[in-house]
Amino acid sequence: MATLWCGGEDIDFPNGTNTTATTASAKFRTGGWARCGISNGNMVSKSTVFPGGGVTSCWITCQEYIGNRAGVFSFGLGKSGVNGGIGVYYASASPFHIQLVSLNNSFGVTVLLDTNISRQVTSMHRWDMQVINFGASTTINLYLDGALIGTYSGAISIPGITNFDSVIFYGGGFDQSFFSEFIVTDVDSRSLIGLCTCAPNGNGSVQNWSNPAYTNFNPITINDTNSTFTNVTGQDEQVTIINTPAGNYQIDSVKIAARALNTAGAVATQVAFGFHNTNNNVTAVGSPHSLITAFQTVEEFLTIDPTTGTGFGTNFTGYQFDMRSS
Amino acid sequence: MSTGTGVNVSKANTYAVADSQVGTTVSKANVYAVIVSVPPGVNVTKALVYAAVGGGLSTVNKIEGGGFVDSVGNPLAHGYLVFELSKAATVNNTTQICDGYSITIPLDANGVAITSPSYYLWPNDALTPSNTFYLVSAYTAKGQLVWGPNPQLITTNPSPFNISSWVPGKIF
Repeated sequence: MATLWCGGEDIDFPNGTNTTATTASAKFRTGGWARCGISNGNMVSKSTVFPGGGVTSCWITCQEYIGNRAGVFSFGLGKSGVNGGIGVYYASASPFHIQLVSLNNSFGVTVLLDTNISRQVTSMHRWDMQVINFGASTTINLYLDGALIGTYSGAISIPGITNFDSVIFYGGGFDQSFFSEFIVTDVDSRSLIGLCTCAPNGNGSVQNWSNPAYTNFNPITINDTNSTFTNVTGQDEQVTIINTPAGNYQIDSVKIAARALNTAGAVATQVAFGFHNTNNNVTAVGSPHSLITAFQTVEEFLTIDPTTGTGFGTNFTGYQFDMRSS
Repeated sequence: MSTGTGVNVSKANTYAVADSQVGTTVSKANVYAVIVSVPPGVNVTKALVYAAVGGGLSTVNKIEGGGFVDSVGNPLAHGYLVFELSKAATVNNTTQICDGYSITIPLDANGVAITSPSYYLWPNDALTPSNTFYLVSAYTAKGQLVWGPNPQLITTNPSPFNISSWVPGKIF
């Protein structure tokens, strides 16, 4: 099983037009899952690129608060550097059926399938979409709240797109839709309960960096005027994180995302990510990430807990997020 | 006013172009500093940990295989299997599974569970309590009991679940 990509906040969608976030509790899953819903009232938001590159077959799941808009794209898969993609669309005419569409390079819409299912507005819903062999012989299965609502089989051609390496979404202006808990995976996404945003929520055991309080780097909306920083190598910055919700499940995989830069001529130019595990008193980080002199999203995907050398367990109890300069 | 013969001078001035101080002179000087908006070194303005959570939403597993035959190898053609869950159970902490139902799965001409349409059952390893099983009986097309009832297990893996792998009556 492999998580190809995941995310759910502005930090994960730097490649399209800017996202907006809401903390209105009706517009994302509360209870320890997401901490906001994101939308885009102008154009399409596009994610960071899948670390494993483009894929022609995958599953994608997300949560959507469906707004009262019609004739708008919802979410789907796209390609870095190129406009267009495939995904869910809300028809412009009553009864506002849910459709599967492709988007061309000008975001022109081609309807692939009309599900004959009407959208249910102003409420939360779960999507699972399976794409098999994108191209000349594509199959797409679309599930709404766990139920199969449509299957498309046939050719799809979008100039410049032979595979997908990004997630795209559009919120629809006023009465927006809001999205959260995106996961792209190579297995049946219906087996995943969701994506937990484990944001910093307290100061950790070691705080070697300057401006170290967790509140300086856990905003819901990106704020590049306030940072935690260091110009000394080998310095750890640790914070406690929001735990996963209680339940009977396993943590399948983990992604760490940070918005970071280094300054020109600095001594400390890289940052590594990991955890301080207070259960076994082990601190372990991965390989350092090189930075550039402008803020960018730096990501690390994990299936093995670096503090134990095995898979992640059922929760993050006793875990602190660790950033180490180098 | 009269003038005399020859050269007359009525006013004479001497102008001197005044120089500044001897040597280099600076009348204005500025120092400009290009200010970097962040402190030197590594800066982080936002950091998150995401956990993709799974493994808890069990689903029904597709049943296939079988190949029921009689003692001389004749298929149990167009017979059927009847499944009864041994006790009531829950799954995913959300769903109650009733044990009072009998689930019938038809067999094809070769005594194999048909897959069109497909039949699905909850895998026993996904259920709470953990010691459930299915009591399974096989009948001929005429309704004669010819196999079982035997306690059998359906598991989450493999998926689909091939009942040809059953050892009759063996569940643990």
